[in-house]
Amino acid sequence: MASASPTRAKDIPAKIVVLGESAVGKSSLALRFVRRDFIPNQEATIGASFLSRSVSLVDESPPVTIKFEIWDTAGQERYRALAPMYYRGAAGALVVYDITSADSLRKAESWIGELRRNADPQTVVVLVGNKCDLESMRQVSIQQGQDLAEKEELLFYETSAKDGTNVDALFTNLGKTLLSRGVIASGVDRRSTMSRNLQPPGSRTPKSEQQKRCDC
Amino acid sequence: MSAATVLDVLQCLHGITQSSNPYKTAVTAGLSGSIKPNMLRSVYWKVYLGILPTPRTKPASSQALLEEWEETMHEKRKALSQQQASKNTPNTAPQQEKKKKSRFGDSDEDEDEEAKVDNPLSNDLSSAYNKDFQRQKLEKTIAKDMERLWSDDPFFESDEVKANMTKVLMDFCDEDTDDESHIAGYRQGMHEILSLIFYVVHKDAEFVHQLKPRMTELDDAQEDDFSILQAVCSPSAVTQDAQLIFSRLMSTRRGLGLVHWYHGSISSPKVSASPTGTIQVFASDTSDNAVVDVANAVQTSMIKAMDEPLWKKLNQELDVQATSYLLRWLRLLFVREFSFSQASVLWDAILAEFSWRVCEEDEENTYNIADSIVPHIAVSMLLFISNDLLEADYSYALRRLMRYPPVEDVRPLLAKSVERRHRGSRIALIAGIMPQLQQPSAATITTPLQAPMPTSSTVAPSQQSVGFGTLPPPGTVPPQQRSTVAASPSTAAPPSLASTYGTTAAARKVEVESVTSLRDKQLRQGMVLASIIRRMEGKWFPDTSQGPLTDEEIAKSDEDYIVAIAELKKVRDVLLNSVSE
Repeated sequence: MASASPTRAKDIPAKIVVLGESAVGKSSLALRFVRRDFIPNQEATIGASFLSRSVSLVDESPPVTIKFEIWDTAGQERYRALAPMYYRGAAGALVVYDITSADSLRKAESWIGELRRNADPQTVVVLVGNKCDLESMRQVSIQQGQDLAEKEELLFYETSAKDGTNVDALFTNLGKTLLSRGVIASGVDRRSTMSRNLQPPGSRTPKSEQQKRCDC
Repeated sequence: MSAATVLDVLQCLHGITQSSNPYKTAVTAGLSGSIKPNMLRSVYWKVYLGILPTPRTKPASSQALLEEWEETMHEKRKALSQQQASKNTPNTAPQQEKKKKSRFGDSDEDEDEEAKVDNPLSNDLSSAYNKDFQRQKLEKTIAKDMERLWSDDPFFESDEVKANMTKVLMDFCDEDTDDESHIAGYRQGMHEILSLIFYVVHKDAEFVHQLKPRMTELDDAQEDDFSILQAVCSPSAVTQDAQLIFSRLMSTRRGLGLVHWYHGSISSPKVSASPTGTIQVFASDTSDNAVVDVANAVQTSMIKAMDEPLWKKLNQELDVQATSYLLRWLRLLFVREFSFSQASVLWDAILAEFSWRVCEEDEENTYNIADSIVPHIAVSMLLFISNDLLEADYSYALRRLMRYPPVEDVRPLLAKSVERRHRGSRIALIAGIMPQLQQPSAATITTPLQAPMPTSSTVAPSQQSVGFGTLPPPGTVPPQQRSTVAASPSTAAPPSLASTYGTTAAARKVEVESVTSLRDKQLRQGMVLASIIRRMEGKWFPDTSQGPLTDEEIAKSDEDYIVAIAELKKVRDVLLNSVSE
């Protein structure tokens, strides 16, 4: 076995899906988190892309490492039919809007609705207002974002994929929430409740079960 | 490419027009991957897509055919302009239109209907206001994608190019609503398809234009031909020509119907794959999502027939969703997976195959892109990285599939795809076209390859006897790449399409298996080397972003290192062996 980044023994995998309107910065957000990089004019995502990064949460006891397996989806509304493939079985979902576009917040609301109806109820949803570096062009106030998040009981962050604001904080906090709500769990049996709900354990070993989890 | 002279270009043009079968000559060039950069690729594409009429018998004169081409392009561009002019009713002034209508009293519509059409509050999608609103929305959507299209390429940075491409996409959406299949609308990815077309058409026009000062080197007859070429590849008609090509590529009626792979809900022939890896098409069935079906067929039955361990790895062990990467490969016809010049070579073959099937079989367009060379190219791509995938874990496998490794030369991959396509085809589509390329050197190479090769049991006998056209060996094509892979000495070796169909079935099986072009082998070995290097680097430059390695991991990386050296020796043996042969 060889791999550029081997899954470490203690890593807890967590499937995360990134949803939201076209050009709100979904790919940029994922790239900022995984590669600590920002590319202006990130090309449109066709189909989906996949990125992963492990993060150690040292203040948990015992300390744990979460391997975020991020599915970054295509934003164009017309491709929505394919989205369930990515949010099914996801431990977390980032619903991203662009703070300089009121319209993108409305799209985010409809994504939240879709997740409520079709995703696993345990999926932790984070509302993310991206491009917060573009303060002068702001169309959505922080309050509006917060109100929506409170109403829907979501985590909420304003981020900037460009300068990195809040990106690591978002994922760290999401990881902690996943642990505290038991969506993902450390321990001997590392299969999450989520994957057990979705895939009745058969003859699979825990390892393949985990792998199964990331692409349903 | 700087070496090409005005005479070279004319020679290339005459290669088609002076041939005893211009049509077959063009199709053969496309399927064999022998169209060179700056050698009028856009002319070939226009031939393949039926935009330029191309005879199957020797034309009365090359001159006459060229004149017909000039005339045809002129007419087609004119028709396009007229179509656009008639469509471009002033969209900001529906009121005026109404007045005009009543003044001339030329309307058969009753008053109710007229009122409804112009009511801004109407929900009717066909109301002028609504249409205008939809149009603006569409323009905004396209602009968003256009803004970030190949932002590292100066050609696409030009506002003019962006505006022209937007215009073509807008027109396509308008025009599309008239299509029988009621397919409408722009979808992300179409802009990338168009970008390659624009690029190819523009490059030819620019190139021909640049050669203009050198017309003095030509005699009178040549000068005439060059003038015609300038009209066929006119810099002022780049947008229109790109539009003609794009529209054929998308169109269900007269083209490849690529639009099927963008719109999920339209009905299209249902596709499934037989155990031999041949895609069967059941025209009566309909599918919810054509591209999803093809993606699944590629990763399951087609791969299973070619490389069972890989099939097992992807579908059982890792359980990779075929659509996660294949949607992009297929929808964009590999534009993102390769450099522009490499993708163009793949497109040559895709369009040439279309041309051959449509024109050869019958009048009706029975071409179905799901049952074309396209899925076979995807299969070849998977087989080429089979080694890497077989040893990968889930994350690594996905990253490999999402970011296809740069290849030095795409032609061996194409040759394999054409070969498999031909073999699996229900109707021996490429009969008489399969180019017979030099076999001697390649045919004797029997060194086993690292990557699993098709086993004899998977070789479906061609279902019809096959004739051959002969083709002069293709010249060498300098690699035109965005990638950073250094050009290797192998550039001198022509790609070999190992056609062995003249032999008996039994002998053929064996030969198909053992005959692999030198390039093909080099490419595979290069990929094995890349994988070895990666692992060796892992030993010395471990990923410590997640903290220091555990003892277990250190032990594992030692083991990897030893395995890597063993593999390195194998590569050496394979390479030395082929050199001695």
